[in-house]
Amino acid sequence: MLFKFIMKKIVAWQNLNSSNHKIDNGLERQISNKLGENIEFIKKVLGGSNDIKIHEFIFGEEFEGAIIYIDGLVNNTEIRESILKPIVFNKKINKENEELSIKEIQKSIICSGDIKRSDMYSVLIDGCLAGATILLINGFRKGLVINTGSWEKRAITEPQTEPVVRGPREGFTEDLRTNTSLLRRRIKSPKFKMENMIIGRKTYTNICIAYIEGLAKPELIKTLRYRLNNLDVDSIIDSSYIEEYIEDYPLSIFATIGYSEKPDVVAAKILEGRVGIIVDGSPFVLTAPMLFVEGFQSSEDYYVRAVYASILRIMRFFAYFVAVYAVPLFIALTTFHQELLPTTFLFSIANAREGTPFPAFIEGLIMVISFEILREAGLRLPRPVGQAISIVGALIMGEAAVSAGIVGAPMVITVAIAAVAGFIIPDQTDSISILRIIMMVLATVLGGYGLAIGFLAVLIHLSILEPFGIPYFASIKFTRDKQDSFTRMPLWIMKDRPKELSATDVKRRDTYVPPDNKDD
Amino acid sequence: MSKKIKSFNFILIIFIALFLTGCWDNEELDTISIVTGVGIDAADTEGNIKLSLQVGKINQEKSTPQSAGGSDDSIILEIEEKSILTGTNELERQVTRALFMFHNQVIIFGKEQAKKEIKPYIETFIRQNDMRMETLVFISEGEAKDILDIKMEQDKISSFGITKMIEGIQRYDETYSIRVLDLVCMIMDEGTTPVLPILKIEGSDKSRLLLKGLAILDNEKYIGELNETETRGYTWIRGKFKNTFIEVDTEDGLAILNMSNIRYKLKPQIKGEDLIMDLEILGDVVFSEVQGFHNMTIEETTKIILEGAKEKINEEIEASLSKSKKLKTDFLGFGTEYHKRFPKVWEDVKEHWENIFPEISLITNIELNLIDTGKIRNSLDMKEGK
Repeated sequence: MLFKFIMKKIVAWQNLNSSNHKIDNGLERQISNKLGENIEFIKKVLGGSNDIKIHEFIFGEEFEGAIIYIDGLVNNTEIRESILKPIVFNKKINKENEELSIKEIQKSIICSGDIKRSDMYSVLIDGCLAGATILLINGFRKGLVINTGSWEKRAITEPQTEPVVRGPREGFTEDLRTNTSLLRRRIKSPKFKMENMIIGRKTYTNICIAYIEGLAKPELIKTLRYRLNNLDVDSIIDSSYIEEYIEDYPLSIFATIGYSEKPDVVAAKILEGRVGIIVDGSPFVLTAPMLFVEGFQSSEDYYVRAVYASILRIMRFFAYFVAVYAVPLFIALTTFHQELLPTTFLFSIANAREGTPFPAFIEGLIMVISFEILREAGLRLPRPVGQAISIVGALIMGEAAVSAGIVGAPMVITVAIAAVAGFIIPDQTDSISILRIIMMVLATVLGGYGLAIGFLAVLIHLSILEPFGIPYFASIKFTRDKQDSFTRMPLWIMKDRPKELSATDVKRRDTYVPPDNKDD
Repeated sequence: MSKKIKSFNFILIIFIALFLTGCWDNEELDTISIVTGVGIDAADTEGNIKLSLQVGKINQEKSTPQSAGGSDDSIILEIEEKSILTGTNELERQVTRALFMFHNQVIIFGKEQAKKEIKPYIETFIRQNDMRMETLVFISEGEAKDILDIKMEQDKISSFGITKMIEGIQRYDETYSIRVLDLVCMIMDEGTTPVLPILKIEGSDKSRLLLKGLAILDNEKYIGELNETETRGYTWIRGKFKNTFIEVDTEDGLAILNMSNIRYKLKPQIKGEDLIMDLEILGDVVFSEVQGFHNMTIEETTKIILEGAKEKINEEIEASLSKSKKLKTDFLGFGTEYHKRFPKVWEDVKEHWENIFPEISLITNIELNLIDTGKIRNSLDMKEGK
């Protein structure tokens, strides 16, 4: 209720502030037929940036031409070999028909596949900024935008966030085209569609929605397209920008849009009926919607044998509970429900707690917060230093804090177990950290009763979530989805796709040959 | 709009209410004293008891590694008061921490107090929320306080030692583990006289405890006790042996049998005017030790030993029964059996059961099934068998 209230406030406030945000930048005009004027104008627009190269040349009998490109975004060899050389060494060009010869240049002279013809400054300049070469010829009212884009990119490497023992090791890079090719190589169906759009008033970021037609729900694609088309922002630096702008529950601590660095993961999710969103400049491809169970699924679950994968699944759910509830439960047990502990265990804890100055909650808070600090420090620092930090954190802090009598050893152990358990579910790490502290407060105030309330509140919240109209708990709600939630059934059992995600194309497999029964 | 404000206020109230609670049940571990044993002894003043509480000592020093697991020392708090609760309340004003009764392991009545009365004090243990029904109950040979005070060799807190001892014994003999709930059941049961195990301090440095038979509490007062043989007889009749050793001492030699898989059937019968109790004991036996039996074959030896074992069991049962008849109190639970089987007859006899009870004749039928002679067949002294 509070959540909806705040959301409505925000929406109302946004509407109040919204105005016509289309800015006329003076580029929506036709080019002139004088080369000098055009060059002057482009120079004025692009300013004196030193990466803008304007190369004027004369060809034919007395034609003046110019190519404009941005150094570093283009392939110089390609410009020389497929634009300059064919034009300059071609003797057939005459001055009779303007329309004919610009077409002729495009079609029979320049050896490049991706050429646009335009008479608008905006198209020319946008193309130039995206890595194309502009060809302008004196006397022609049209220019050519020739795609010669080529720039330095990172090689395809093994993703560092999602390492696997068994399974593909390719990872997405920052380059959109590379990423789409990685996906296309996995899904060769003609129905696999990738829609392009450009978002960002300043960044002009290329964004691509990838889905399989007839498999993903049309409403889902429509909603996404609508939200993305109506997104007018300054900049999109990473895919997480898009995530924040289009997600259904921006204030929830649970993510409703997933991400992955591995093409095999994204391909598998697209094949389940999700939609992938590839953002240029980000190696993380978004998948929408994300359901609760996805945080507990790992790509490797499908590459190892089903029984083992199921055990791992169950362990991950258990680890999630440990990560969230271990510390609060410890607080509740030692401050409210001492009678629930075995006597000798109670004595062990009491011995350790003896002489520590703070109440259990403060003690837990000290440890949890210092753990978060250490984790952050270990992440942000260069790797060699990060290791030093973890040694300092683990050995010095834990050991010294206990021997100095500031915190009790059982609390250190509990926090450590919770922390390690939290690392098993990387997708939910943020929600775990927040929930842990909320639950600690509840456990301190109300004990086990508070924990029960907190658990129910989280459960209710999770059941209410419906990202893009699909229940967050779909994997628990629908029998068909259960096959791939708490356990991972063998692939030959999972013959249908998850229920709510897939529209019409439901079957994953039609026939397969079961193993021969030797007794028959 | 007003709806929004309403819902907002509603949530605000919940939040405020949450924090107004002020953690009223919150007790940090360093504010409680964990009581591990309660001793009740007779006091000189009439109507008073000497209450001793054993409190597990929390070790403050961090450096000693052995302090990590459990406590190894205890404090005895003593007071003379009218009841247990007045006693604990009075003690709480004298010590620095709140007494935490949930983890109480044992309740020990001194023999002198048991001779006076125990019923009103058991009442406290079943009424109070922070007392557990599964606490073990004992009678001590001397003062209960002395038993709480001793340092046992392995478990320095004697109540932990007692609990572990009983848990160990419980695996083969359930006679000695009588918990508050069991005691209350026995008290409530019309046909049964309650019994409680007796603890006695043993060892040269007074660091061991011995379970020395059972005390019989007629009308919840100590009236006598069973020695070891009689206790074994009691255990046979009540069917509480899970497995046991039987020592057969015959003229030819000595044998120890291990009896397991024991099945009991106690069947009350009324034949005319006579009350007859049928006791059937079936069990598998294994030879554990055989000494003597010179120049005898294994077949002969087996026969002698099994006969001897039956006789031995019969002897034990007989000893217990005669004690029961002598004391004129039915601790063997025959009355309960009749109550269950013949409720109408019971209504007539329950008033003078202690007079009728000694008339009962017990017919025992013991069947022992030799399943194994151990790793060897013949004893070293025996003649080679066929």
